[in-house]
Amino acid sequence: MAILQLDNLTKRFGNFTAVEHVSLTVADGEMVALLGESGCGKTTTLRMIAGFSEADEGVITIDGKVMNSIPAYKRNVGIFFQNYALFPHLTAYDNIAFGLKVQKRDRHEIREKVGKIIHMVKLDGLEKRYPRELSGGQQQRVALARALVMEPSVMLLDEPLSNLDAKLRIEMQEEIKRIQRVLGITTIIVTHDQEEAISLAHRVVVMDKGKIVQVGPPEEVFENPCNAFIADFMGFVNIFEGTVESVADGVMCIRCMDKLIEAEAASCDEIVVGEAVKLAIRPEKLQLSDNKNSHNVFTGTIESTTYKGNITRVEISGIITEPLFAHKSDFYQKPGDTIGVYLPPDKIRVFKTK
Amino acid sequence: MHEDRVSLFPKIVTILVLIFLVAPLVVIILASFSPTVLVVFPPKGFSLKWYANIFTSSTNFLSGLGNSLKVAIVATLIDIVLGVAAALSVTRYTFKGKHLLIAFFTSPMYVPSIAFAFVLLRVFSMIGGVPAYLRILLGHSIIIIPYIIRNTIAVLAGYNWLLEDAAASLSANPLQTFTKVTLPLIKPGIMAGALLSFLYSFDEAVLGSLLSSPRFITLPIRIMNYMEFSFDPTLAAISTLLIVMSLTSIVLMERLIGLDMFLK
Amino acid sequence: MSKKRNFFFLSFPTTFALLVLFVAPMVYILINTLEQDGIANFVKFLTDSFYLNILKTTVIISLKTTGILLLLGYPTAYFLARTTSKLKNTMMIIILFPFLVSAVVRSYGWMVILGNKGLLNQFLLAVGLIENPLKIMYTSHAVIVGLVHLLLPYMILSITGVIQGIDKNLEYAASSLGCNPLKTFFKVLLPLSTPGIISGCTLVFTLSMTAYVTPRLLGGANFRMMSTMVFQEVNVNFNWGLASAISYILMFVILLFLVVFNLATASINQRVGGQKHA
Repeated sequence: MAILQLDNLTKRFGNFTAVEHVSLTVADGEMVALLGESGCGKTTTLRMIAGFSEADEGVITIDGKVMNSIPAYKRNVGIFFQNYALFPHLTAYDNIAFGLKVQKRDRHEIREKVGKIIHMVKLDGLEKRYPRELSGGQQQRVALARALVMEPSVMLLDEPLSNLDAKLRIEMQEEIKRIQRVLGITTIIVTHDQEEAISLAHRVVVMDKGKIVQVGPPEEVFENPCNAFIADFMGFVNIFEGTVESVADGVMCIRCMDKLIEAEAASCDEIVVGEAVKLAIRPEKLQLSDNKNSHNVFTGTIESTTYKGNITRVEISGIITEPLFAHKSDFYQKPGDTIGVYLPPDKIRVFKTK
Repeated sequence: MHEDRVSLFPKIVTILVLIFLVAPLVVIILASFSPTVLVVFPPKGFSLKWYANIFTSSTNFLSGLGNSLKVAIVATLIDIVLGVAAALSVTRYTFKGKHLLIAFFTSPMYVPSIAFAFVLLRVFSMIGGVPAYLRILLGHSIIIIPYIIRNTIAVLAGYNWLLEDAAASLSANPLQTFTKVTLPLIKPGIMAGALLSFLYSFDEAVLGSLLSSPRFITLPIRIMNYMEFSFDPTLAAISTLLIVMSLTSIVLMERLIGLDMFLK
Repeated sequence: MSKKRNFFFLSFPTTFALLVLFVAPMVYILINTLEQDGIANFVKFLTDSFYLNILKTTVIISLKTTGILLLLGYPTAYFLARTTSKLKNTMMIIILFPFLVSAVVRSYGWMVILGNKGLLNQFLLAVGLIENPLKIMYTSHAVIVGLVHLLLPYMILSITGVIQGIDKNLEYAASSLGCNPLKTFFKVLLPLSTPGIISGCTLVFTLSMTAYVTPRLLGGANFRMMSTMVFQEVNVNFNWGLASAISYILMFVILLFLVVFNLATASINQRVGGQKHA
């Protein structure tokens, strides 16, 4: 098992900087998620760690050993590819045994290790099938087993669940988590799905335009994003602008058009009076219906309602310029109705406008 | 399945085209069994004497066959090595001027064979002493290389290069990666391309015409020479053998990789 | 860096072979020809109507062949691309199979059919349609028949690939918008398959310009195209200087056509929006 360190990693393609000064330490046995939209540099980072692509600047070390000039096939870094990249001409068994055979390991050792890992990923009985004869989920298990059997010092997962349907995705998510925790392999998972990152990783690293923009435990990144971009990514559907009127005792008064909104959450940014800011609040945190609060209660009109099964999405206009969205279960009011909206001050996040 | 029916006009043209394409070949096969020198229809009997004729020394078809095989096999083997390497070099790496390099590799395709044959004839006559076998072999090695390269590039275009990364991450060095992953996967495509190039060289008659010597003549030239003074069905018999060879090749190719490669 | 080394290692052998055995001879003989006779042979060719007529014949035969190939090839290609018949593979084999048979053999087949005492004349005489055998062999007609037969697979394959890449739903869409089959063809299929038509035409035109075996065997001794002319100057008239000039003029003419075709393709691709096909 191993500690992975990225120090000041930079990669350029012509004039385009794909990864810029990325520094990150992944502890032994830790699972870190690189989260970001496509093109944010997360896959490029992964390819540099695997050794498929050379870093223009910066150092990659595993257990203190510099990896930069070591070719991919000598790194002992396991990788799981988004499209699995299974060898189509080899059976499931031979796919999994490929690496050990290449290393010319002892035959008994190969049989034992492969057998064990097949059992671990629950592929028993499918050894002789070719990839095209396996379902998507089974192919995925083969890909995982193929990497794990090598006992890699670091494991890289590139969008491991993106090709699966919703039900299978949840199942595999649990599976990956279980295996990673059991084996305790230092792991990096690349994903664009915040839910996946949050439920799998010990720590989430949010990337944007080649840079790391926030690092923290899942709860922290989810609850307390550092800027409006991350907030948007984390499901803060309601983001709107305002100007700070006063700051006192951790409570900010922010003017949005003719409304004064109070916010008392911790912020990553140092915010001063008179500053233009962005406010963000999740739709499920908006409280509808009458309540006893004196602050942050506004009256709006229901613009539309969309029944989504477990919740109803309510679009409310007439409070600020943009419509506000709320998610409520058991909601029976109709479009055109007037409605009271309460924005809990401790659920509002405030960011500087950049 | 009425909605997927193709309208009548293309169907009729297709049938006519298919008849037109096989007609001369069918005629040759029938003619090869003709008992008379003049091929008539319907045939007045059945005879194998023209096949026997192939094996008599006066036609020299057998030596021609041997020569053609020698050239085609060696040229194809050389070009598989050269062509596959060249195709890998332009598909695996991205660099400026890639298209220029591909154009250069396939440039012999755009030069008329007769012009290239003549140029080679002059060069070889300046050098002197180059045997006809070597002259034709070198010439064929050049003219078939574009076909091997183009075919291999097409095969590699459908190849998932991530498999090489996957192999590397499983500790296979570049050589192991090539022999255990890339090669097994592209081999059928390369074999089909090699078969095509082999037939191209085997059937080639332009370089053969200009570069052969009385002591080394390839089969197509033997056949053309034979026509100059005799037009009996011995020609049909040897042609039938060549037709059977081609038919075998195409069936083989269909088995190897399917025929869709021709549609690229 | 090892990447550069690998690239060099892979591309060098072919580059070397082509430079030594292809580029150098082509350039050297051109220079040598110009040094020995100057441009005399080129001038001779380009001013003598005898030679110019051969060039004209070659171009006209090639254009006619290309036209016939397009008329026969397009419907066939369309049928092949769209058919769901189980016989499709058999049809593909029938189309590809002549493609792999020597031009010598295929021309021989046409000689048996088209000759003065050939099967076609035998048939027509027997039926009583004609009284004297038709003279087809050793005319430009025989050459065109032979070339069409030789090149038909190239044309069909070039176009089939492109039509297969055109979504069949576009045709359904056109007909649902009120296009009859003819209109659908002209408004939808034809514009979208133009790239295939052009690449097919370029290919067969070039190949018929340079064909040697077919015109030699089906055209006979008195019918001359550019390539048979080169052979004649080399082996019969022993005028190597003139043979050189003809070779390079033929190359130049083909290059000229290729450039024109390429420019046409570029402008059409732009219009069709660089649609991906095959």
